[in-house]
Amino acid sequence: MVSIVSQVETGHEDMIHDAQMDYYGTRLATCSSDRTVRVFEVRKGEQSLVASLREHEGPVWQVAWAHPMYGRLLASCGYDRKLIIWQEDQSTWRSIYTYTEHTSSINSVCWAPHELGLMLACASSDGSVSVLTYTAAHTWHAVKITNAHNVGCNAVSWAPAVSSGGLTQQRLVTGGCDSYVKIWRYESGEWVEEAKLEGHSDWVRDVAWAPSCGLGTSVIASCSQDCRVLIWTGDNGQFRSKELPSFADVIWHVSWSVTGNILAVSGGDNRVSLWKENTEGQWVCLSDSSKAAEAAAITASAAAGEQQMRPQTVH
Amino acid sequence: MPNSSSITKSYVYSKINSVRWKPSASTFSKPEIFISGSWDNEDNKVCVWRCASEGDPQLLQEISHAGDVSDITYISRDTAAVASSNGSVSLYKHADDTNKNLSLSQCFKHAHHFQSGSQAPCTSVASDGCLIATVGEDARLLLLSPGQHEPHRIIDSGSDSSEYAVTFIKTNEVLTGSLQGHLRLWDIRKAGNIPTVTMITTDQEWIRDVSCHPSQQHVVAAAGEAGALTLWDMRNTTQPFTSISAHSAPVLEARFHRNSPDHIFTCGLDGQLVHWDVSYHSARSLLEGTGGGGLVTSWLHPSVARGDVTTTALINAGPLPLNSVDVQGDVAVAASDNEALFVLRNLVMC
Amino acid sequence: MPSMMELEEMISSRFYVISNNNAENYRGHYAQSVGVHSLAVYPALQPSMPTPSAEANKGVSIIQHLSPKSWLFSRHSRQLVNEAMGTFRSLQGMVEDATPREGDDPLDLTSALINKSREYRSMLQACVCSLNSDLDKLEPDSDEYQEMAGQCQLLYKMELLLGLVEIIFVDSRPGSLILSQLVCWVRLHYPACTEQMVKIMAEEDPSQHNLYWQTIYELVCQGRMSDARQMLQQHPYCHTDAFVAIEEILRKMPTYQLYSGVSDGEFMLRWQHWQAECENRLQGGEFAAWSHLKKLAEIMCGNSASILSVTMCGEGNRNDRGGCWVPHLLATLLFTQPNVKLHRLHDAATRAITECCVKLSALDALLLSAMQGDALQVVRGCQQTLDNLWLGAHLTDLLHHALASQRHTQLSLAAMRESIVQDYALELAGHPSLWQVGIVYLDYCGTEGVKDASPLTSLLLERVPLTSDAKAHKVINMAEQRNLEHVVRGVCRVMGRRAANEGRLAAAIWWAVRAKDAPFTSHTAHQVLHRYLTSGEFQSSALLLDHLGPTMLLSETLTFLGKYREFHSLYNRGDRKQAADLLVTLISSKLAPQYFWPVLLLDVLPLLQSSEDSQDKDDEIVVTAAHTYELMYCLNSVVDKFQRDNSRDRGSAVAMECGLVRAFTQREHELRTCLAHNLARAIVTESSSHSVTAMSGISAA
Repeated sequence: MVSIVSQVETGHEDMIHDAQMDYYGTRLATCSSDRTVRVFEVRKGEQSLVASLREHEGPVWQVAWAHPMYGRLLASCGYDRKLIIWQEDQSTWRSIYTYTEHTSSINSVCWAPHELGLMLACASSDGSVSVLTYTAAHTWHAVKITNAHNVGCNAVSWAPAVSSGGLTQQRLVTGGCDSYVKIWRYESGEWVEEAKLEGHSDWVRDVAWAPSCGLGTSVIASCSQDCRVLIWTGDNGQFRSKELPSFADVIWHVSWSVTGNILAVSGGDNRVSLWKENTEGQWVCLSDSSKAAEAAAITASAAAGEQQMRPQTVH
Repeated sequence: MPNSSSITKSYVYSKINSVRWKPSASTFSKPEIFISGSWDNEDNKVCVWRCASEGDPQLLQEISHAGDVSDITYISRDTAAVASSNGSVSLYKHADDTNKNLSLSQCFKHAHHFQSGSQAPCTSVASDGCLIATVGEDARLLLLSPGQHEPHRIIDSGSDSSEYAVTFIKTNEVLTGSLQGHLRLWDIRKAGNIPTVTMITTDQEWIRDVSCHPSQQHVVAAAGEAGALTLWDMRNTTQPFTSISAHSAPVLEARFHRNSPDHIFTCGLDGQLVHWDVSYHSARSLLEGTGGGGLVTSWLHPSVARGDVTTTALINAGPLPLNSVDVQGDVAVAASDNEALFVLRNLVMC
Repeated sequence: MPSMMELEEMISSRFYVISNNNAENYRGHYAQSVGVHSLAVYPALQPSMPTPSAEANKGVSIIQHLSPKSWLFSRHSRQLVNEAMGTFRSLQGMVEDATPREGDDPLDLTSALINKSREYRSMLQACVCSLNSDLDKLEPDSDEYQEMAGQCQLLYKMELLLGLVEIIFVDSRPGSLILSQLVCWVRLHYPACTEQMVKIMAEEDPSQHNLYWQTIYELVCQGRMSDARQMLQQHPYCHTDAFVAIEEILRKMPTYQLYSGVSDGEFMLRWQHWQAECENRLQGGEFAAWSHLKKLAEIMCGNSASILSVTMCGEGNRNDRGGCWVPHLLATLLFTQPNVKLHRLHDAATRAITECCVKLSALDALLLSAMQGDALQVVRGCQQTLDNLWLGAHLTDLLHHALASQRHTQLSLAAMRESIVQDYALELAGHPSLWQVGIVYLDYCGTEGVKDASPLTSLLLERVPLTSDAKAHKVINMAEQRNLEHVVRGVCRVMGRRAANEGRLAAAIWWAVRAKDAPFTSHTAHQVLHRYLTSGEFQSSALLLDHLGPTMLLSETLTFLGKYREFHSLYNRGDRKQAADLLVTLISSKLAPQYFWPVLLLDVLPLLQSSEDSQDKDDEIVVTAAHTYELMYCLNSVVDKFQRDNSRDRGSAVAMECGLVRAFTQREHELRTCLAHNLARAIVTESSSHSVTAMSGISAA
C-alpha cells in the first residue's frame, strides 16, 4: 500500500523543476521557473521553509546537495548560464561561489562521490561539461570537457566511488541532444571519453549512474525523448543495454533509490513506475506481477486541495 | 527458600532508552512501578508500568514526549525528571500508583542549546532530591530548581565538547563525564567555571555514565566507550583505582545497587546486562577482621584492583544495544533497541 | 473501507498513477527517489510548452512525498518484526553450526526447523491475541476497528499458511501419508466446533440446543470421534439401537498412526472394512428412524453431498477465515481417501474448492501452491500477495533450509531467499526507528561464505540521520562490528564538521582525530590558532590539547598546537630553559605556521627579560646564541612580511589589528633590543663556559 507521507507546499510561483532531499532525508531543496531555490526542513510530515534563495536570473533547472561531511552545501544551475554554490553557516544561507563559464543554459548539476573531495560536474546546452574542484587554496578550479555532446548536454551523473589500487577512479556519464550516452574518465590530468553508447534515437533526457552494490559492475539508466529507458551494464569498459518494456510517452527522468535496487521512471504520460531487477536478471515493474489484474494501484490527485487516494484496478 | 531467578521479555512497540523504578514507599516493599522513556520513534512516549510478581509488566499510562528521552531520574518519590534530545528537561508527576495520573508538571524548554541558539541534546540528569543537575552536548552543567523557571545556576564546563554523564557525589558536589573521557568534579557552591578536580584517562574515550557508591561517596564507577568499568577512589584522583572490562562494546549505563552496593549492573551496545559482584571480598574482609567494621569498601579491596570481580551476564550479548537498566530489591528492569522490555526477578544477591 | 477480501488482496503496489486536473498544461510528473523506497513527486512541464497562466498554475507548487505503508509497522504487528529477528538469527546460527565439516554427513535440521517454524507461528498467534483483546475496547463501526479486524484476519491466514508449509515441506513424513498432520492443522485453525461443543454441553439439556446436531456433524468432519460420542451420549435416546450402532461405528473408525507398526496397506484394509460395515448398516436401514443419525452415517460413508451440507454451513467455516474449502477438503479426505499422499493432495483440494464454489483469494491460491508442493510458487505468491515481506522472508528462509537437499529447487530458492531477505531488510531500513533490525537482516544476505558486510549496509548506515551524539555512537558501533571503517570515518567527519559549524572546536578536533581526517584536523587546528590570535586564550580547547598524546601526530598543525600547549605548561612550571628550547624548535622546524610567529616571538620576550633580570643565576642563559640568531631571523621575516602585505593590500591591515598581532607590532622594538642584549650575553657566557670546558679537558689530560 502506498500513501502520501507528507505534502510540501513549496510556495513557488511557477513550475518546480527539481526537488532533492539531502543525504539524511531531513531537508528538501527545490528550484523553479520563478528563479528561486528553496530549502525546507521536513520532519515527521511537517515542513518549514528555511531559506528562499534568489540570485538566479532565470528558471533554475536543478539543485544538488553535497555530502554533509563538507557542511551544508547546495549547488543550483539554471537558464541564466550560472551555477551557484550555496552554503549554510550558523543557520544563514548565502552563495559562496558563482560559475559563469558556460555560454548557454546549464541543465544539470551533480556532486561527485565524497571520497573524491568536494567536486561537482555540470552540463550545459552549449554542449560542454564542467568539473569544478575545491582546492586546498580554498578556490574552485574548473576543468571543461568541451563539445561533449553536439547541440547540447542535458544530464550528468557521477559514478560511485570505486577504488582500484588505492586511487579512487573519477568517472561520469553524460547524456545529450546527439542521442548519445557518454562515459568519461579522468586520466593523467584530463577527461577522456571512455565510451560512447549508442541506443537512443532522440534526445537523451536524463542519465543516472546507480549506487554501487559492490559487484564491480557499473549500472547506468538513461531515458530519452524516444520514449525508451535503457539500463546499461558495464564490465571493464564494455557496456551492454537492456530496454525496459515500452512506454507510451517521452520519459523525462530516471532516479535510483539510495541502495540502487529500485529505479523510478517518470514521463509525459502522467505515470511514475518503479522497476527492479529480479533474480533472473530481468527488469520488472514492481506492480507488473502475474497478479497485476488483482493489483490495487493508488491514484493520487495532485491538484491542490483535493488529495485523496483510492484503490483502482490496473488492467 | 527463594524462587529461582527468571526473565520475562515483552515487546513494547518502541525503542526504550531509559527505565527507572519509582522509589518504593519503604525499603522493604517489593518494587512495583517503573517509568520508561523511548527514543528514535516518530512519536516518543513516557510510560508508567506496573510489574507484578510474575508475568509481563502492564502498561498503566503513556504520555507523548517531545524529542528522544535520553535519561530519567526520580527527584522525589512522585516526580521524575526526564532529559530530552531537544534540549529540554521535563518533570513528570505521578503520585498515585494505582490511577492514571502521570502528568507533565514543569518543562525547562530549550535548557541546553548551542551558541548559535539551536537546540543541544540534554544527555543526562541527576538529582540530590532537591536540585536537578543536567548536562548536554552544549558542554554546560545546569542546576535546576523545581518550581523555578530559570536555571538555578549555569556552569560553562570550560570545554566545548559534549558532556554525557552527571551525578551527585554529595549535596554540593557534582561529577560529570564527557566525550573526551574527562571526569570533573564541581563544587556547586563555588562561583566560577572551574572544576575542583579533573580526572583524566589517557585514551580520550567517551564516558557515558558515572555512578556513585550510595554510602561511601569516595567510590565512583564510570563507564563508556572502552566497554570497561572504571573505579575511582576520589581520595586519589591522579589515576583510576582499576579498570575492568566485561563488555565487547561501549557501556551505556553503570549503576550501583541502592541497598546492596557490593553489586553494580551495567548494560551496553553489545546487548549485554552484566552483574558485577564483590560481596565475596566484603565477606572476607569481615572474616579477616581487616574490614574495620565494614568501613572499607569491598570495591577498593586490593584483589579488585587485580581484576578479581565476579561478573555474570544476566542478558547475553545480542546484535542490538541494551540501553538502560535499573535494579531495586531483587528485581531488575532493562530495555533494548529491539523494542523489548526485560524484567529479571529473584536476582541472587548476598 | 476495503472488504476483507480486498484487504487480503492489497499488495505492495508500487505503481503510481497520478491524475491531474490541469493535465493539458503540464503533461507528466517528475519523481525523485528519496531514501530507501520513497518518492518525491511533482508536476512536470514539457519544456517546449509555453509557461501556463497563473490560473493554470494552481497546484504546481506542491511536492508529494509518497512512501509504501504497511500494517506491519502498526502498533500491534511491530512486535513481529522485533521478535522474529531473534528467531531468524538463531535459525541462521543453527544452520551454520550444522554445516558439515569435510567428509561428515550433514546434520538433520528438521526438528530445529520445525521448532523455529512454530516460534514464528506462535508470534503470529500472540499478535492475533493482542489485536483481539484490543478490538474489544473499540467501537465495531470505527475505521480503526475495521482495520484491526482486517489485520487480525490477515495474520490468522498467514499462520494458517505457515502451518501448512510446515507439514508439507518442513516436517514431511516418510511414505508421505499426511492426513494425520492435516487433521491437526485443520483442528487447530477451525476450533469453532469444539468451542460450540463446550457451550452446548454446559446446557441443562444439550440435545435441545438448536446447534446440537450441526456441532456433532462438524466434530465428525474433523475426525473428533470421541467428542462426537460424548455429545451423542447426552441424547435421551442414546440407549436405543440406532444410537448404539452409530456409537460403535464412531468408536471403531481406524486412524492411521505413523510408526504404529501398521503398514499403509493393512491400514487401508481395516479402514475399508470399517466403511463397508457402516455402508451395510446404512443400507440396512438401521438409522431410518433417525434422520440425524442417517446423515452422520452418510458422512462417514463419504457421501459428498452430506459432507458439503455440513462444511458449507459450519459456523466456524463460514466466516472470513480462509473459507470453507479447507474443512471440506479434510472431511472429504477423512471419509474417502484416508491414505492420501502428498502428490494427490492438490487434486483433492481443487475438487474441494469446486464443490464449495468459492472465489479463490490470493491466500487460498498460496495454500493450493503449497499443496501442490511448489515451494517456489509459495514464495513468489507471498512476495506478491502481502504488502510487506515479513512472511515472505521468513518462510523463504525456512523453505531454503528445509529443502537444502533437493537439488532441483535449491538454486532458485537460494536466489529467492537472498533477494527477499534483502528486500525485507530494506523495508525495515527505510523505517525511521527499525533501521537497526534492517541492518541485522542484511548481515545474512550476500554470497554464502563471504563474511564481509553487504555493500548495502554501508549505503544504509551512512544515511541514518545523526540526530545526537548518542545516535552517532550507535551507528559507529554497528559499522565497527561489521568492519566498515569508511562508514565510521564518514560519521566522525560529519559530526566534526557539525561541531565546527557550531564553533565547538575541541569537539570538532576530537571527531576529526577519530575520522583520521588530517586535512580537516589541520583546518580546525588553524581555527583554534586564529582564535588564540584574537583572544590570547585557548578557551574551550585547552583540556583537549593538553592530553592529545600520540593522536597529535595526525596533523602538523595539531602537533604544533599540542607542543605549544606543552610550552605553556613548561613555562608555567618554571622550566624556562626547556620552554625556550621547545619554542625555538617549533619555529625552526617550520612546525609553527608563519602567521603565528608573532605570538611565539612575544612569548620569547619574558624569557629574554627574565634572564636579564635574574641576578642570582646570571650564568644561566635561557636562550642560547644560536637560538637568538634564529629568533632574529624569524623577527625579520615577520616584519618583512607585514611590510609587504601592507603595501600590497590594505585589507590585511585589518588582520593586524587583531589582539596579539597588534601587541606584537607595538612591542617589536622592545623585542629587537632584548634579542640583541641576549645575544651579547649569550656569546660571552657561552665562550667562557666553552673555555672552562676546554680547560678542564686539558687538566684532565
